[in-house]
Amino acid sequence: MNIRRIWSNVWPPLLAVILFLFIWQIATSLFQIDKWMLPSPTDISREAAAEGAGLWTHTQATLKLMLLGFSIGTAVGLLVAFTLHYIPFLRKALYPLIILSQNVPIIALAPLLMIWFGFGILPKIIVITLVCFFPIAVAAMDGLSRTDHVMLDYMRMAGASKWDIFIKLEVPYALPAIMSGAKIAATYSVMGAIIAEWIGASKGIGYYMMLQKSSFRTDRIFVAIAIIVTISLAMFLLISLLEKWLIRYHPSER
Amino acid sequence: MNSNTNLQATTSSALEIEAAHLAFRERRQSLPVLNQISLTVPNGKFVSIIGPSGCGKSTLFHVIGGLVKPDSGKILLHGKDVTGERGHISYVPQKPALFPWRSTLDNITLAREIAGMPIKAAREEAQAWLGRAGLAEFAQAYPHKLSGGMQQRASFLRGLLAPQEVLLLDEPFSALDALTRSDMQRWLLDIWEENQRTVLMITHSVEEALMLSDSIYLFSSRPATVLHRIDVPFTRPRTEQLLDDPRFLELKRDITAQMRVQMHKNQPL
Repeated sequence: MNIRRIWSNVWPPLLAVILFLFIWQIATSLFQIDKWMLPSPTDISREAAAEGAGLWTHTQATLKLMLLGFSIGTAVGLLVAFTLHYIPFLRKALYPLIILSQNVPIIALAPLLMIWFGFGILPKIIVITLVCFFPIAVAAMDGLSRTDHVMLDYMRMAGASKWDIFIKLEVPYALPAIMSGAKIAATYSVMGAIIAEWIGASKGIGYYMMLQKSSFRTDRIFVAIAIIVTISLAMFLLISLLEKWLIRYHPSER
Repeated sequence: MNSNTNLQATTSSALEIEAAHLAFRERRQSLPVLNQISLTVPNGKFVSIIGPSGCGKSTLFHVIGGLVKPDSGKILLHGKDVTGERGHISYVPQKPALFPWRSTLDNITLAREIAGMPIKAAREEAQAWLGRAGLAEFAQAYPHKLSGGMQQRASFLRGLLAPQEVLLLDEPFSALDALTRSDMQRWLLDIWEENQRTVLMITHSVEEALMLSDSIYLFSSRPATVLHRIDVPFTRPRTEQLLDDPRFLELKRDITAQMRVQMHKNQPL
């Protein structure tokens, strides 16, 4: 029953992807598109198999960077949200700045960070943190401010301390919102890691991409894209599963 | 007044409100909400407040619970001034407001958890109470699995198991359908007559107030003022037959008429 329901959700997009790849494959041979311009899916998968071991080390490097950045970004985002939630003046003062910070293109900021902090891991972590913390912080603040008033009144009248209210009511209440933010942050963190590796790295999928771009290996760039998409999907899935487990009480998520 | 009678008065009344006055300020305008409210809830008695909707009864509960400080006046608990202090009363809100991420059992023990009391004893007692409320098999279920009436019962148990002596019931049955409502009233009556906790209840229903209470305070429309105190003469334990008692009907008619006058003061027909 359960498997059948999951399958019924999976097969339509799966079919669409297969169809898309099929048309792509046919089109490349039908219109005789050059391999350096647009390689066919079979070309790409052949290349992926040939590159195997090397790709895995690059993927590992990216995964490590991304997971570290995502964890730190999430922690920073939550910390910012909790602080601003409890100090309304800070919230008023800093909220517009936080929004403004998202208008600074990360592509422009990344080289600056390299100049300031060198080519080590620190500037890369900062890049990922910058893209990650925003969706988490905004979602968490939103969730915290929506706390049910009757429940809040109840806790206050019962004489609950600020900490009790925070840990027993506000955080669990904001959890669904925080998890939605985390899903967005998770996919952003992959992008952040790739950008960080573009700017300056000696390994990782982003670095691999830059390398292949300079030698016009379109097929290998597509391999890199496929890996990035897979990582993003895996992260999204992982957070979704975590969300399902954390919010298992939810009536609509039976 | 000599000190002796004064002492007696304070020990026999669990909750006392002395001339509570409150006005909300809005755009430099002062909107009076509570106008010199004085009322007494004797130890182990069930007292109700009836008044037209929007008369500021819920605000009064916020004042008693310490969420809002009155402009003047005092809240006394066994003679001790607790004005503006929280944690002295047990509140049963209008909608059940059970925490959806806690099991029914964990919801009921919440007040004791907040008070820092031993959780194991609380859970055992809660389990026993759940049985009496017909919720035994729902102890581990999340609240959304419960019907509206069951949720309200759980919410009431949460209030009952709280360490605070005085229970504040804020229109506890208003969200229920008529049948569930009368069922719940009878259930509450039974539970209360066994335990005799001190209760202050807000309600819109004259019948409910007469059925459950020892005395009823009739509030005017906004700003809320105490119009009357009615002592309910019926003996306990009370049964549903009371509903057909001519004295009951007469009191009901009388109070309903007074309430209607208050309603139309604000919104003429």
